[in-house]
Amino acid sequence: MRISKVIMAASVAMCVFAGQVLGAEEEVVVGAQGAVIPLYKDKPYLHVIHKGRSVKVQRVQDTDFELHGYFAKTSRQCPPFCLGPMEVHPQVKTVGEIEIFHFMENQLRDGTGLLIDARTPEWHAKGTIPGSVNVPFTTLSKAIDDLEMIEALESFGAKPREPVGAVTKTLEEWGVMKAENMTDSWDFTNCKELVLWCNGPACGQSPRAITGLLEVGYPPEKIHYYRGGMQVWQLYGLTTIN
Amino acid sequence: MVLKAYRYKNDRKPRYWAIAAMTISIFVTPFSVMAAGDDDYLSALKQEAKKVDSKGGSSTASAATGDAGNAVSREVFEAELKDKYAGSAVFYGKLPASSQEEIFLEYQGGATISELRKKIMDRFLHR
Repeated sequence: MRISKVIMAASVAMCVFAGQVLGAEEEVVVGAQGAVIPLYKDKPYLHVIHKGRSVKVQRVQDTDFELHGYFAKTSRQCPPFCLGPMEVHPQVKTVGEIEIFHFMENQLRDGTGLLIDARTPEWHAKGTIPGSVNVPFTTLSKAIDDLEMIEALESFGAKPREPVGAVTKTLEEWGVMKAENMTDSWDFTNCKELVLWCNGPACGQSPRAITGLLEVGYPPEKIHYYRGGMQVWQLYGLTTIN
Repeated sequence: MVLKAYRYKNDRKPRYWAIAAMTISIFVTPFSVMAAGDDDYLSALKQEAKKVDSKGGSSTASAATGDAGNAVSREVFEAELKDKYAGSAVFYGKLPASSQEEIFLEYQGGATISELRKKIMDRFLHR
């Protein structure tokens, strides 16, 4: 009985190993020799869930394709649409496209992260990055006791705290009780990792949303800023969805 | 004396009003300026959003990238599994139809490939 179990486990392991080797050989050829323009080296495309449907994210496969329209514009009226700095806050990480792809395949699929289109709904309706949810900066700039902000924070996995007594507060201040990622009114211990984006480097909507979140105590290490936004996403011919 | 008192009273009154008005304006003005600033920004955003429609820029890329928005069919899922994880595909193929359906539905629901591979083995080994 024991021997048969060992044989079965060994055959299962061999099959899985063989599968991985086979899988590696059978993957789509990308790069200079192949026809596929990948997302990045050895990554032809990925799938992300958008409103309950799986969407394939890839680059435009036509090397002669040129971007036209609004996001091909070089300049906009400044103010208000002025170029913003690379960093919104010293502790908030600014990310690029490859980090977004990894985020889509890991935190989004695992439910531990949210990709947030921080633009107003009229912008979101005209096209967005697949996998994004629309939480406008106008909501995330509200006061901590505003119903819209409360609903947003709850959807991000933050939990409202029971009124904190003087004793608890003192113990937390002394470090006797764990108070990391907690404010007087919110517990951010299990809150989701967020990537916020808007129209691009000259867009102030996601920086405002990030500032709003920091003001209510959202942990900065759980916030990421995709500065490239819709403009850079489209410049690289990446899939958008209406 | 009465006149003097009357004048004094009238002289003092405007000062109270002035102080009150100044105090109110000190507190109210920054908020109204802030609100006006926000309103200006929002209306500028609204105007700018209209330009996306007129030039149709954002839809160009999505149209060009092909099958965005299509739900992945079971055939596509199974083909991908076979392509990338042939071992798991073999065990998946040996599962009863109900288990295969369950795994496909989990994939559609956003489960990671490692979760799906684990589930395939769990179902295969009746765990």
